[in-house]
Amino acid sequence: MEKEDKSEIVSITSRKLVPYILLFGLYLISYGHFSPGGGFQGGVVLGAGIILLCLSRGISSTEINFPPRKITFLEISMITAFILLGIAGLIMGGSFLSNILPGKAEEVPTPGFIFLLDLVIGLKAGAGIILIFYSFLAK
Amino acid sequence: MNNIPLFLIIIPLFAACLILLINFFKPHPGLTQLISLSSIIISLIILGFSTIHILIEKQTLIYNLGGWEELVGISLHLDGLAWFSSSSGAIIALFSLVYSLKEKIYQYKFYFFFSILVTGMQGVVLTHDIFNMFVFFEILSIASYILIAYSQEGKAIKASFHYLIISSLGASLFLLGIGLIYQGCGSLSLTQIGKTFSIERGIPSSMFQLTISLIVVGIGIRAAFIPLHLWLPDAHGYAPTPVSALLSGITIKISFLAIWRIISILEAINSQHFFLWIGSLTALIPVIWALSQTDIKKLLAYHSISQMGFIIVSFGIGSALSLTGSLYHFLNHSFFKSLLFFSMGAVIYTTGKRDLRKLSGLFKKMPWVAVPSLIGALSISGIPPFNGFVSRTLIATSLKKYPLPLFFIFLASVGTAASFIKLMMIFLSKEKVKPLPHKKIKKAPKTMIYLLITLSIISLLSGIFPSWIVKVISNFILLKDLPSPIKIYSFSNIGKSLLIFVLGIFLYKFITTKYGKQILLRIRDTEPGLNNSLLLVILSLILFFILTIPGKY
Amino acid sequence: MEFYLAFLILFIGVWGMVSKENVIKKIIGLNITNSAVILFFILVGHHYGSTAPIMEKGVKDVVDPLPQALMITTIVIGICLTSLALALALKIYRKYNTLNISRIEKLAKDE
Repeated sequence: MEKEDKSEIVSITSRKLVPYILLFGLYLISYGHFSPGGGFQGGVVLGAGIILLCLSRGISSTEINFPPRKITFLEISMITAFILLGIAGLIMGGSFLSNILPGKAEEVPTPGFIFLLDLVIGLKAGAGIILIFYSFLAK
Repeated sequence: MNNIPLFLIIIPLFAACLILLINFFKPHPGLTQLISLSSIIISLIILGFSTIHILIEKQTLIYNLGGWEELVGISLHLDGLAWFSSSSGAIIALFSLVYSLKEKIYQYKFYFFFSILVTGMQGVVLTHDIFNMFVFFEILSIASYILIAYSQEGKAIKASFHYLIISSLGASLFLLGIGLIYQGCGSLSLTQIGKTFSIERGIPSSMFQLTISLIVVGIGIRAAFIPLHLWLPDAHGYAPTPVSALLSGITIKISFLAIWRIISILEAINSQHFFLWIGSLTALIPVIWALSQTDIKKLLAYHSISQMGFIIVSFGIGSALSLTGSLYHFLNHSFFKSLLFFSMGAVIYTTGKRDLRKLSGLFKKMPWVAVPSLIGALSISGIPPFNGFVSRTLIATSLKKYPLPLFFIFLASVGTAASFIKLMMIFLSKEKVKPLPHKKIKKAPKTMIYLLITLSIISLLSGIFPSWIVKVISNFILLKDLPSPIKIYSFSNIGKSLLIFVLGIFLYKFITTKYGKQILLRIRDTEPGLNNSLLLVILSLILFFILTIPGKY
Repeated sequence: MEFYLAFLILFIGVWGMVSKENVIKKIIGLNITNSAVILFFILVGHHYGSTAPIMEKGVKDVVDPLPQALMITTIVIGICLTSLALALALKIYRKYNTLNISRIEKLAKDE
């Protein structure tokens, strides 16, 4: 997308909107164990925010802030972290993906293990969505 | 000990993640291959440890994910059938990886998706939760779509797209079936479904039958039953050779074993009996197309469908003898079909050609590829003393009461013999076409040749000593006693297989005449496309539903 | 009533997959089929007057949360399949310069 093609309205609206979208994504991730939401949903909202940035600012200037290589690394490390968390549960708690932290899932201040899982899944899903979008736009 | 089912799934998955992680900064081809090989070897060692528990003490190892009890959570069951298919899958995956080491066109992404494919396979086999089975099926399929299109040639991409569309439609149908089950009994655990989802417990019989049809057709697309098989020849033919061997050798049969498990849990006797007809037609019809093929790998792919027919037909009978024959053929087919795929892959690797009209007189140039592939061809044609003979004899013996399916199976065997004589002519015939210049022929790597020799020794040994394997399958895996000891190497059985071989030679003579060639050319041009195969899915769903309504058959 | 709607949508999706020649339209048909099954599954766990399964004080009549959790998984799989199918369609277009499936099959056969 060239610079001349951009509409003023789209670019300003999306610039104002993107932080709130990202914040909403983080909210969905961090309250997923307690209310509707969760890792994947929040991650997709995070990804959608960055896709909106791509659409309004053009892909090349977005790639400066969110470089594909770093996002790839995020995705790979998150999927590894998920399996490591599962194995940690196996070693400490007796079964795969069981709770290794103190705290219960029902309480917001100490959400325990499930928050970690939601975070890992959320970052992984968001990174995946962004990468799919990047690779379709690549020339 | 109870963690074994979990580890079988986690280890390949973790290996896949490690492969991605170590290749992120700098490509490490050697380390990548080491990780993927060692993950499968570790799985095999673990399976070896569990042998005593499963086969001798006849236990089922149950693992409940997350510590939830079985009715609520997901549980993994490692019973005899799962042990059997899981270990044969791991062995064939190991052989495929060893083959792929020397072809040097595979990057780390290949090994990543290969490990994911193995994960999906083990998951489908082990899981005892029907929705979880759907998820593992999708993992397996997504990895296989990508691996089929790995060469990025036009035909491979088209085949992969065809497979994707049709098997996603199948997945939707399967999911609809799961929805009906959940509506009927409110549980997804196969144990609970078996207890509550039945006509006696108040499920309307039409609903029951609709569920069975949706599940059978949905998974059946991946197991390549007769009207649903149209995606397979292209997909398995144009995939990279190690992937073709794994897909043809194990994956389609694992899909069938999933149907096996669900049908035997739901006790749908009508549907099981109907597999007699599906199986015999599945054995017969693809052979006609296989005879007409000129692409060496596509010919093998058509025979994979036909050999699936042998496995399916003996499942349809349902007696102890026929089920033993079915599993024995499962094992044998995965060995000799991967042997054939590897040797044809070696031919393509050395000569760079895959059209059998352009290949001839290769026996002198590569005897160490030719002898194993001849052994493979003799096995698949059912010539004693190779393993194909044994399992086909078991199947034919158990089919005695059903003359028409037996006749179809007989015709299919004749066609198989003829088309493998046609294939083996690339080694045995004299160089009539322009001889290939000697410079163009590379040497097959030693690893490939050792692999081919190992597989042919296995094919020979499991043919010579059948009674031991038959006993293991019937008594320890199926937990059923055979009615009486069967004599496999009897005079009449050997005579029958020689009769099939002689008729096969006559058929081969016929298709090499001018008239026969014209017929084959017509057949080759009638390969239905994607639209027709989608229509056939809908049609076969309706037909299966109508034909298996209880009481009618 | 809603069950019939789900099946109607299912048939529309299958019709799109079978009858359309364009590869992209086939993928859209696949998506519609998938959505119909998701709708069906959600309906299985639902009945009139029930609320969302957030267990606070005073909440009694809730829908079955299990089908919803399962359908999230199905949606994820659907996204993966769609993006993979679109990537394959892109590759096919770059190779054969057409999106018409019969022409693609003809070109692949003559290759």
